[in-house]
Amino acid sequence: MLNILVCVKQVPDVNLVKIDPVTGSLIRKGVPAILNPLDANALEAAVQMKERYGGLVTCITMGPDQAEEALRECLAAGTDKAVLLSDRAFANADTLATSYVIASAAKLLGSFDLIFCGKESLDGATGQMASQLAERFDASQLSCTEEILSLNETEMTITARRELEKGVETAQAQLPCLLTVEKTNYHPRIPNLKRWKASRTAEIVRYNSQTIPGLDLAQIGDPGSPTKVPRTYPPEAGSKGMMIDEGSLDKSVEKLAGLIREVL
Amino acid sequence: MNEILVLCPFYIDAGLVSQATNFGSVRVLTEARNVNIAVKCGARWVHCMEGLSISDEAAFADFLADKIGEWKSKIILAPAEIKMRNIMPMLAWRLKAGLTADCTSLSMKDKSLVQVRPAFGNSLMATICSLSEIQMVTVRPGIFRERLQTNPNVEIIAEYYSGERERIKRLSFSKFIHGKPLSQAQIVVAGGLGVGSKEGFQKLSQLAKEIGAGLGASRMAVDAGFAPYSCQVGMTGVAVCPDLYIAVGISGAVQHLAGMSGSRTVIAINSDPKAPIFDYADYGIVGDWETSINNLLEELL
Repeated sequence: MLNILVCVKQVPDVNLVKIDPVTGSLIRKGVPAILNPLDANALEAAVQMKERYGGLVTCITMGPDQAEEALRECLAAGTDKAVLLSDRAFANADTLATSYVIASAAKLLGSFDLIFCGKESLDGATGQMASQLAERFDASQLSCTEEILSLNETEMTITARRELEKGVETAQAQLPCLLTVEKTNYHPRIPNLKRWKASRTAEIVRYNSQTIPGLDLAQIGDPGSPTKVPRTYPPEAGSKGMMIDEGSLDKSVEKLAGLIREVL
Repeated sequence: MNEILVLCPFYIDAGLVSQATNFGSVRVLTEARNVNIAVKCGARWVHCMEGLSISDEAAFADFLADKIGEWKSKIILAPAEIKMRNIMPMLAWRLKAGLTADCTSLSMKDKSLVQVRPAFGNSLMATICSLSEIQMVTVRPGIFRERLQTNPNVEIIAEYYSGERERIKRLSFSKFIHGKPLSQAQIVVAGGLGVGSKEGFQKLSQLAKEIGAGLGASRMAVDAGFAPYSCQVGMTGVAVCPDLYIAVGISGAVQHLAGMSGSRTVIAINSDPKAPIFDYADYGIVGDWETSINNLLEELL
């Protein structure tokens, strides 16, 4: 039976985020928080593994109390157990501090054969969490997984196809393995009504900085984060270029072709 | 004098090596075939390795961590391509270093590297500094322009990676057919949702072939299945910096602009005169993309 962990994040819907022109900071008010879309793909891959080989899927997240909502969405989509790590002391964490907290708490939940992460978050989009978690779990890592092909439970290996910069690789990794999943093949399922209802009242396991034994407070939150953000500001607007309008599309394109020839 | 380590084991970003020379003496780790590029961009030390096909990034990160210990590097830069975007966080964990991803601007203040990166779908720029002893950054490929300036004292040193600790085995590999990676293309023809279909992208592909361009696509077009993910330009795709970028039927969402803002000349063709792409384009044409491309093909042939 597989023990599967999925690491998720609740993010502001960046398509609706506005920037305060004076302070240069985010206006979060009124912006809905959603489950990071790529995490939903990772969860779907995890649930499919459970359905194929049997097992238990646990979702874990670090965030404020409201992040519970993202976990309930995960429960509706096939998660068995949801874990929320919430504490003011976790705030302002960079990826180094966040991966430390998540890995420390995950150790309390048992040992995992497979760990799934979304490729990156919609807001920070650093794509750093998965690699740092793989290190902290001492797991092998298959990044950019397009499709999981098979799992060999006797030899404890997993085979997957990954889309890399120069081509497509089929690779076999030893368990425990952390996979980041491309969205191509793992579309999040629509939860059925029964699951959705159950997810509303399901228990959420909670931990804070005091209830994770042995947590080094110097490695969490702001003190544990070497990267600092002294300033944020809106990007400069682009300069208006020249519209080509020679009266007809034919003539305009003719002129454009001339300009392209110059560049070539 | 500071020493800057630039890790380019899979893909060399010549502009990044040039930029690093502004901050101190540059040590580059790269594939043997790219040694010349590192030398002509001003590296002081070039460590070269035979062509690598690494499947286990963690095992390679172990190797790099040992080397970095030897070199005592304090500032470590790498292009933000797929592999290094994975390996740098592993290294950062081993070295207890702050790491910033996908920077678009770098400067040095005292001994601290001032890093700028876009966040929240490029709607916000953040200035970031690292307090750790070792500072690490991945940089959007192609953001910096290369500058030719050979260092007269350059040394070339051979390195060897055995790969014996790998926990991941490559079973097979098939190369993408469209040759040179999009991120290095001199000209890019890119299509958006407005192109409307796979067949539409075939037409763009035809134009791209005619003018020796790479084929790009917006996220929306990739999501719609018109083009493969490898063509995606933008936040979650490839960053490009060609001399010429032709945006066809692309509205110009911030996520997309983030990936092509390094282009020298931008041409936009869109039927919607209010499309935000026109704010970024050097030249714009309002009109049907298909007619325009057909005419353009005739004109250029």
